[in-house]
Amino acid sequence: MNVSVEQGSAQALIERGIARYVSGELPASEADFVAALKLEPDNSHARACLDWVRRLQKDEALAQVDVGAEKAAASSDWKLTPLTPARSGLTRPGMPSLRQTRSEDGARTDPSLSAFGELPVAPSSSVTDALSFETPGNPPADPSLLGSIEDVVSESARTGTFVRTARPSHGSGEWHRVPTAPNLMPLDVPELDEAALEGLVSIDTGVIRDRKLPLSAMPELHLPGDEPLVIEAETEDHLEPLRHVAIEFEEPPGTDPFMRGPGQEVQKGEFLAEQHRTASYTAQAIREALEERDLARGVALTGDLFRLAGGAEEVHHRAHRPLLDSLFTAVLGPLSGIPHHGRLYAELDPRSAFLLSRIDGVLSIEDLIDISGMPRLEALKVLCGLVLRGAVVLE
Amino acid sequence: MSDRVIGIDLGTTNSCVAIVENGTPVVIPNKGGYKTTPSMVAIMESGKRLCGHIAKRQAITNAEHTVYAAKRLIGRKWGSPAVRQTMEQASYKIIEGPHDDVRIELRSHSYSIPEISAYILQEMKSIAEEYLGGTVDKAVVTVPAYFNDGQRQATKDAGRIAGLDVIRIINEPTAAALAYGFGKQLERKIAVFDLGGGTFDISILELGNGVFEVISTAGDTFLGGEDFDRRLIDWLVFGFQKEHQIDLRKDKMALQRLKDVAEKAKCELSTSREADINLPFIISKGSEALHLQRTVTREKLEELTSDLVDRTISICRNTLIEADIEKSAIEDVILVGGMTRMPKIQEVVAAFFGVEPCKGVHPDEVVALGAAIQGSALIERESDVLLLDVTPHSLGIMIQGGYFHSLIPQNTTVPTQTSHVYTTVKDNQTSVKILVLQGESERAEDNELLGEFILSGLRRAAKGAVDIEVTFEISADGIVSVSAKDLENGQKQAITVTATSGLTEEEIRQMVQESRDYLVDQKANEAFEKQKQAAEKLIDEMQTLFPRVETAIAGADFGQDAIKKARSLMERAQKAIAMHDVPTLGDATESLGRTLNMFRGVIAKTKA
Repeated sequence: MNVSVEQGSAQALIERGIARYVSGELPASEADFVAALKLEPDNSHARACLDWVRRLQKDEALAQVDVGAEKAAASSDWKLTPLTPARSGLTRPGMPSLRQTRSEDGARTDPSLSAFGELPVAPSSSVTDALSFETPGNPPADPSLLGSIEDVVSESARTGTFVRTARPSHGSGEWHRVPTAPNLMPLDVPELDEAALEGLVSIDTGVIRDRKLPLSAMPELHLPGDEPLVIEAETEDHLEPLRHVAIEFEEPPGTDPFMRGPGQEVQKGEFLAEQHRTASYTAQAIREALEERDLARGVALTGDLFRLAGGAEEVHHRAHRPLLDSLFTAVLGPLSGIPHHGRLYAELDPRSAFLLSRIDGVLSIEDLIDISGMPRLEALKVLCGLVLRGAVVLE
Repeated sequence: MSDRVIGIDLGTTNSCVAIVENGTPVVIPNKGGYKTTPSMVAIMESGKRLCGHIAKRQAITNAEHTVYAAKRLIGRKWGSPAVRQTMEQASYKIIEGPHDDVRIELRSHSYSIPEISAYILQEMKSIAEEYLGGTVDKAVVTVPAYFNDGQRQATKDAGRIAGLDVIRIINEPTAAALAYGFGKQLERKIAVFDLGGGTFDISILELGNGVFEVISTAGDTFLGGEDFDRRLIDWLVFGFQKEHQIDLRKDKMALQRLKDVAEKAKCELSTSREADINLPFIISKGSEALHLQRTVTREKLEELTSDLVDRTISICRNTLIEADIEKSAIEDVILVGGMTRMPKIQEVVAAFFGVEPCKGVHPDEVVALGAAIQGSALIERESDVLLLDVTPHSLGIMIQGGYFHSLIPQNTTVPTQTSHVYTTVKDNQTSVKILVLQGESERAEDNELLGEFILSGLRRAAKGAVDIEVTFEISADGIVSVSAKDLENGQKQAITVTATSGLTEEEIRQMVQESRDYLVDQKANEAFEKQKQAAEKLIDEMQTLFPRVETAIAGADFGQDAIKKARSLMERAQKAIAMHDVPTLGDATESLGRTLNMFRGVIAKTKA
């Protein structure tokens, strides 16, 4: 990728780094972030980007994922490549995202997805994929599952092309922006088959009109207001890969990600789509709590974040890690500190009680994490809860 | 090099370290104040190694990566029954090593048994070093009396990997007897009843003229305190299940808590008639957290474990019968191992032997104390304790009919040499195969094969007409040499048998290096953590002072500069922490300290 940058601008270097990262040029991307940090050593965005890129490059598991992805691709409609631009996960404020939900070839646990902390894809027979496309002539089996999104593929009489239109239908009139961490976040949209994408005419988000953009370079698209997302392709076949791409629309705040309305539970496919942006929203809420020194609220919110990110172990590998580290350090102080029993508590959950039972006045916080039998972040969260409730005091 | 020698009881379940200080043997407590340390090693996901109490506290929640009872495997061959039996019970993965030895796989890395034991020895070494305030590099380590040469050599190798020169390996009952007889001149037969956490051993020793001879030893390597704990756990689990229809064993955290509390209750019942077990919030049922609350009496524990107690007595009975020793010949019984604190055990032992067991020695510490006494005697020229190495097993060759003919009996003091003349069994036999064996069985196949060689070129003659002299020699270093010689034509063949632990010299050297590297890394990490804590404390204090400092000096240019400088120092320290940059962190911490002092001075002056 040949992108020139403004001399001496860390921000320009970061942007170029991101662009290179998106196009899969990881070493070049890393060099840009390093250069940005030289100019601005305190730039947390550059630091987070660098950490992420380095981690990606170092992660041996990715090599295995590559193999797994190739195998999956052989039996699938599209090619999966873990370090593709589509999976690069650049998030932009207020952008709904396009992402894969699943193929129709039955049960498949996509190793590339798992490696990025996604939930494994369940057999399609047992999960209704609410946000998948349905081809013309094959309408959704249960229209109610499409819920707030009207998603139609039709043949345009005007241009002779095939069009996919997705439109928010709950009528809020205003999409709320998703606050986004200033970090790179791994998204899980696989690279679509380039040949298929060549046939795309345009992706119209209401902001970017009439531009032929490779979908793979746009893991998230901005859809302001109640503008529809329109993807136009030369033939219906060119839309075929997109049958497996879910669209995430932001819902108004206060919407329970698990419940659409009374008695209408959101299906798993939709939950996967919901999950990512709600995690970002929660992360922002944690950041605000930390800034306001409302540590109890921050710690309470981490539970939601773990749930949305697929568990504490998954968050461990994600970009929220530095945020959580800051929060936990604010509560616990140095991890070399020695916790002691505080006052007795009438109500505890079994995990808190277990951690409490490990405290002996000798083991440090770091030791406790090691022996907790829980993922590191989970153990820290539980310990923070105990400290904030006074059940544990720190030396 | 220090001249101090520590004594280490490297136990199956717990280990203990002692030293002789000013003529008195003392046990060295660990950092937590405990005098014994669990013989457990765990490897965490990060690669960090946990040893001792901390490893025990996560043994169930991290069962696959926590090694316990490695002693059952040390020096064993892959195909041995003990390995098979351990594999059936162990929660960690046991695999075949490259030299027909045994390895343990933890987090995709293969560890030899001496390596695992080395981690425990290293822990004991560091406990001693912390207590003594200096390095310790010599040790006497104890092993069960039945350990063969390979197992003893593997224990020595473990010591070497741990950075210890194991100057002597001694038998556990011998060490116990040594501690028991310390300062006394005893001449009698004694029984050492050793019921530890994982194994039971009974040994009969003859004490006299400063010589401690193990006459007979037997035991069960799968019978110990943990079996008693398990009975109590099962009782608690069944009770809870009856009440709440929940099996606590399915929840690792609940099971870990149960295991800890069961062990504690068992210990408490040695001194109290009943113990309260209280595990609040042990598990959830729906949204409700449930508690486990029971009272267990001593009688209940005895009822739950009566068959285990009976097993120990049954083994004692068989041992005396096999050794052809009358119970009445036993004048003293020494109790070893924490489980012997159980009143029921003391009662049945007293009833069986007809003598009250000695209570003057601490059952958990007696073996380590004995090892320390021996270690001290080995380096002190004026010591009046004479200690001799003896062969743990008989040595001999296989003869016609598959029988074992012993040339050097068990407990022979080394160095030693002995010869015996054999003859041919066939007419015109021109060669003879010498199988060198170690053990106590009459059947050669039941003993351990140490080596073999062929003596050829014998004179052709009728059977029984050729004399072949076989000579066994054991050097002071324990090296066994065997030679066979045709006495008529002088034809001779010989082999040297050296005990092997299952590791090559190259492997041991590499492990020694890795062990050193690990310690260096650990020390570096500790140094960083220390520096980090100091810096974080200063930063914290600085931030608290800032508002007052700003009020006091912000008006002046100097004040602004000072605050700016302080902020920049804090940032520098934080960056150094993030980058693990110890030198920069050290500099920044030092400067932070000075700035903080300056601020304190300013505030003090302002107050004045």
